[in-house]
Amino acid sequence: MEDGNKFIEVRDLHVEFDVRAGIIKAVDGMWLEINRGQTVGVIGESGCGKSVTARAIMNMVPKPGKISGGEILYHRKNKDTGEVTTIDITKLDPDGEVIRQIRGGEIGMIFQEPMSSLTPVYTAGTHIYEAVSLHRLVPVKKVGDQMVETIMTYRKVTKQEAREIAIDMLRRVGIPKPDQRVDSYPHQLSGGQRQRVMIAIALSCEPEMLIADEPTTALDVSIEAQILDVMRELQHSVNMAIMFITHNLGVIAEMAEEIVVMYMGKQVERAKVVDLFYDPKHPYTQALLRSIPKIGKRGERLATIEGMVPDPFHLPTGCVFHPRCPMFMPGKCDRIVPTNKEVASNHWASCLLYEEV
Amino acid sequence: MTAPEATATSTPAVDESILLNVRGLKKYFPIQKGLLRRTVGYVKAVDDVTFFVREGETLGLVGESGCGKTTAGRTIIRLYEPTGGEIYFKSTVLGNSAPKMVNLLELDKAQMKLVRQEISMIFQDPVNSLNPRMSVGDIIAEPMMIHGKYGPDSEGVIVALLERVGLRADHLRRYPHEFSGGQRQRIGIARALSLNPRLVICDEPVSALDVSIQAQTLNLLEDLQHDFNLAYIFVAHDLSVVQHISDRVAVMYVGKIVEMADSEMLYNNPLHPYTEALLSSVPKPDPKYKSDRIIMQGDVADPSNPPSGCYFHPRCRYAVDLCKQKSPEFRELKKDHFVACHRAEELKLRGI
Repeated sequence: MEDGNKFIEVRDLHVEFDVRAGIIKAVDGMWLEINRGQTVGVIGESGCGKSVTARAIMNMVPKPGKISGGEILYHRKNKDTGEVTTIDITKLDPDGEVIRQIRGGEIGMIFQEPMSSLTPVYTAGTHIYEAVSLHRLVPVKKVGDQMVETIMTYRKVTKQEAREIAIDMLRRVGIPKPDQRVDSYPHQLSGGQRQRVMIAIALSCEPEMLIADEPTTALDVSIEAQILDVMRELQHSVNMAIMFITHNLGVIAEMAEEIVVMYMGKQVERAKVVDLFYDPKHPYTQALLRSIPKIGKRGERLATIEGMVPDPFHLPTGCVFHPRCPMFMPGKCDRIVPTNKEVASNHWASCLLYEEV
Repeated sequence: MTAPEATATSTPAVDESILLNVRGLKKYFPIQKGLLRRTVGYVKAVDDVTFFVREGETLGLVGESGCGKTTAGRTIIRLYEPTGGEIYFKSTVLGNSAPKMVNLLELDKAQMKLVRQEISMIFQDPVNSLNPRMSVGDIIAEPMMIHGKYGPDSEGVIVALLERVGLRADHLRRYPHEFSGGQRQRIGIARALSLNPRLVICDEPVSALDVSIQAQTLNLLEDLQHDFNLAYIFVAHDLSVVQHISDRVAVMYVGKIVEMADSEMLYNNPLHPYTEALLSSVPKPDPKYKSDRIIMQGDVADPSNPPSGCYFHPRCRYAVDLCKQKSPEFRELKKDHFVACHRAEELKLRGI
């Protein structure tokens, strides 16, 4: 049953952005595996490629970016027969029928502040339009109508049932007076409420996997707690897999079973959540964990990571983290690119500390 | 609506170290409807808020979005004109270099401008709070120019400031878009410090930053506070960040402060049920921690139509009849520990 459980396998994924100043390797050899019903957390600083990886899985990399290598295997299960077919998402036409069925219906997604995450800068190519119309609220239409439409696209329900699902889901994500709110327009809601509506839409389609890209970052802790609960409930009831992208280590500790740490487009560490928090192997992960203010420990100076994220056009040689690394070994780290090694059972790290060189 | 109660009960009578003393501050935004823009009601964004800040200390202001914490911060420097209340500030400029308590609401425009040298602000959004068409040097110099303090040696001062916040002298001629979020926030911090303020109102200064950058920025703010003897009002919704940086913390709910205490005390022994619920819902960065959070039932109260009595009663699991009828007084229950709850004495609440 090992294979029947696999849902998504990202293998050696490369995504490049061809901009005027050169080529940015946003994702540079990424490996990721997500099983059905499992929550994988992806953490890392902004610009490390975590959101681009998520978009690549939907085959929705914004222009001028493109998937330049690797494969994304989607083990698609036929809902009626239970038969599993494997599709390489990178080979699909981004505007094609198949990917459009997958997006939203089979793999749902929530982006952080959807209004701004899909900026008009990437002029309205059709596949972006697709993404926008599916995953953004249309200002001139009532929230409820938009929800009903989306739900009916992906689930076999009547209009009345869809509306009930919509109201119920709005209630579960903490929208006050959902039976009235369902008839309001997006501009009548606050930013946090709009974000919750987006979450409600994504969840009400009961996708098999949910990609949640900083879904609760803009929300208050009390609402955040509510939404994390809803996501967990749904995960249990429909065996949904979740790819949870965040830089909030508190949220990830609570949600994920397995965590992938990314830095400059690469996976630097992957482990079970407890191992990662209690025994981080990579110096970057160690530094990241030390730099968060912990409740109950006041007055201690926060540990920081020296320097800044490197310029993507002038990446450091060897290990990309070496200029900021407290464990830097001259002559090694600046010359040799580390490989991904299993340093403990089910615990992977890319660091020369764990390699014999 | 109930008439506002007297609010003079909750500040120590005379305390030399108090820099800012806010009493009964109110900011109501009118709701206008119809062709004639008739005022049909008010959003009570800040409703009878009383607190003080001592010199060189950090007061954290926390609460859910829409609770009025940002409005409170902005009303203090009269970016919004308050509806009522008193704001006493110990001004050196107006006292002719001898510190003098002045009520900011009684100052005319010229005096207010003078006081603004002593109170500055750091904004949440490091992208929109910097003018994209001004160079970094100009951005930092602007407050000096406005206040007629720009002289021949000011450029040296600006360079020193830039270096103090961790940027380089050659950044002076660059423009905001050339910087990362963390660096832009540093520019904003340098600008806030350019006139040697005594009080800095920090409105969610690290919310938009990555954890590692957040740590750098928090450390920087702490160092600067130490070096320049700054007092901070630190508005934020992240409770762990607030605890890290604050000496004292005030918790706001629907325009009112419900609890204010020494940071340690507030987090370990909260006296208000809202504080308890808020603390319990903070996600802990520890996968072995068994979360035992209190889910607040019901909706956040609408500040234009708040519930009767205690605004928190519809969501409070300890509410009794009295809570529906009478608005609790904001009182000093223990030394330096203020709370607005009828049942504060009897409840045993859980902290962190």
